[in-house]
Amino acid sequence: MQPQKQYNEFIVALEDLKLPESTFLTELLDDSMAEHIQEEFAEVLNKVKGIIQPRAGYAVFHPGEFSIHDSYILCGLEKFNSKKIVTRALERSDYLYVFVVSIGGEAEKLVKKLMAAGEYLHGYFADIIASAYTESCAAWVEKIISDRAAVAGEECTMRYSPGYCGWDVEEQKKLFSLLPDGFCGVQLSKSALMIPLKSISGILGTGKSVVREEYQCGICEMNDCLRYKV
Amino acid sequence: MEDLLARIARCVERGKISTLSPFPKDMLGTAGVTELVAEALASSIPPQNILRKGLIAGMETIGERFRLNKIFIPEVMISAKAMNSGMRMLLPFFEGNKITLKGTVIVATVQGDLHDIGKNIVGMFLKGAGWNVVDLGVNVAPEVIVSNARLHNAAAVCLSALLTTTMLNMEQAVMDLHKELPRVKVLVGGAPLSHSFAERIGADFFSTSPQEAIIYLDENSTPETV
Ligand code: B12
Repeated sequence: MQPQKQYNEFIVALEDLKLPESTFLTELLDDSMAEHIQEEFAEVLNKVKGIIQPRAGYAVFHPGEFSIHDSYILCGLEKFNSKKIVTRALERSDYLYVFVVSIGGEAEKLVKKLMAAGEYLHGYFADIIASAYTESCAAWVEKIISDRAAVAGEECTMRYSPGYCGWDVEEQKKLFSLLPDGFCGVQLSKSALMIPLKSISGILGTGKSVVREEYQCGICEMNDCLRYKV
Repeated sequence: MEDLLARIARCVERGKISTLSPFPKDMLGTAGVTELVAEALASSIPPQNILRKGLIAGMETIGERFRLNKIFIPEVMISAKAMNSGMRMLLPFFEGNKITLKGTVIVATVQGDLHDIGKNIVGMFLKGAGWNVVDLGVNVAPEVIVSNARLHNAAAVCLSALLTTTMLNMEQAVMDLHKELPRVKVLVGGAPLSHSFAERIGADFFSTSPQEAIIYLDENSTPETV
């Protein structure tokens, strides 16, 4: 049994989610895209907006409930074998946040339906828009946490997810064991995938002596990371 | 008659489905794929030629322009939809074997992975090139891939992985396929993969470009009639 914890869960208002400008969305789309393609994009955007149900939530671990080591993190009863790149970024944290966000399962159903009907362009747009909303949901929860930290005079780290920076996705199982069942409507499959698919999980830290640093790719040993490719 | 097929190809390339299609603007009010395919059928052009020299030819041109980075993916998708509108009209001829596709290709995102945007693009390119595509979805176990390749008598399997950890499951799937179905070509892709990784796991082909996969399959599998 994990110790009794307090969890915060939110229904996120669509107006609070901005499609991130720097994500893959802009890389896959072309500014000079023909007018009618832009119109189709706008049409799908509206459709996706109408069906997503953005949710976000986190559990806070207080001093004494976690410890950060050179290549692992002890949190509650779990040991995260996250790589140095993650532990180094979090090492000065006074509080550790374990978060999950999801936009629900409707968007992926829409993508499937459109693809099966041969509506490739709409299916593709729906998929990348829904993915971008999932990312902005993660940015939203990060902002909520960092705003609260700022009030207490604390700084907030970047967010890290199992699967990023060489940290094994399988460790999502540990992450989810720190949260109540079905948190934010998300379940973990046997192969450690989140269902609904359009979900993101991760951790971040806040603290008085935290220094927020961009992802420290310099100390990473992965040679197949996509950050170098995009 | 060639001229009619070339016009079909041109309409596919430009994404012009029918006379009523509002785009592209410079083709407003002119016949689109559906009218031209109807005309071709009425003039007794063999359906196989309509498919090969009309619909597929149009997709080839657009695919090549994509490969050369001259256009973006949305334009390919608009062409694929136009091709589909013509394909639907040819469906009755599949039954009498008056048309055959190039063969069947299985596409899947490997076990442990959900990223499927790239896989879907690959599937669309394959359909546009005249392959029958069986999409197994995401998080697909090696045994499911093998059994489907067998069931559908597939000529090839296209596997996609975006997570570094699931690249290992890809290796298992490639090994199983080669062992059980040595005739089936295995193509792999996904942003974190590389030529050296593909070579190490014994895949037959790797590319970042779906269009190159099409060229490879055209050259390395044994097409039926197309
Ligand atoms: C979109 C996206 C998502 C979406 C998924 C949408 C979807 N339906 O696929 C969402 C937001 C849901 C998501 C979630 C996660 N993601 Co994600 N995601 C991405 C992102 C931003 C883009 C991937 C993409 O679609 N690219 C565009 C497509 C077109 O490119 P592509 O797939 O490479 O395909 C092209 C070629 O490679 C080729 N190709 C592809 N397959 C094949 C096959 C063959 C045979 C051939 C020939 C060619 C070919 O053709 C395509 C067209 O050119 C990447 C980061 C990035 N910038 O790449 C991270 C990324 C892939 N995700 C990552 C991770 C870790 C996750 C999570 C596990 C994180 C977490 N713990 O929450 C979760 C898992 C969610 C779950 N349900 O369990 C990591 C993976 C790290 C790694 N390499 O191990 C990345 C790299 C982010 C990062 N910075 O670390 N993700």
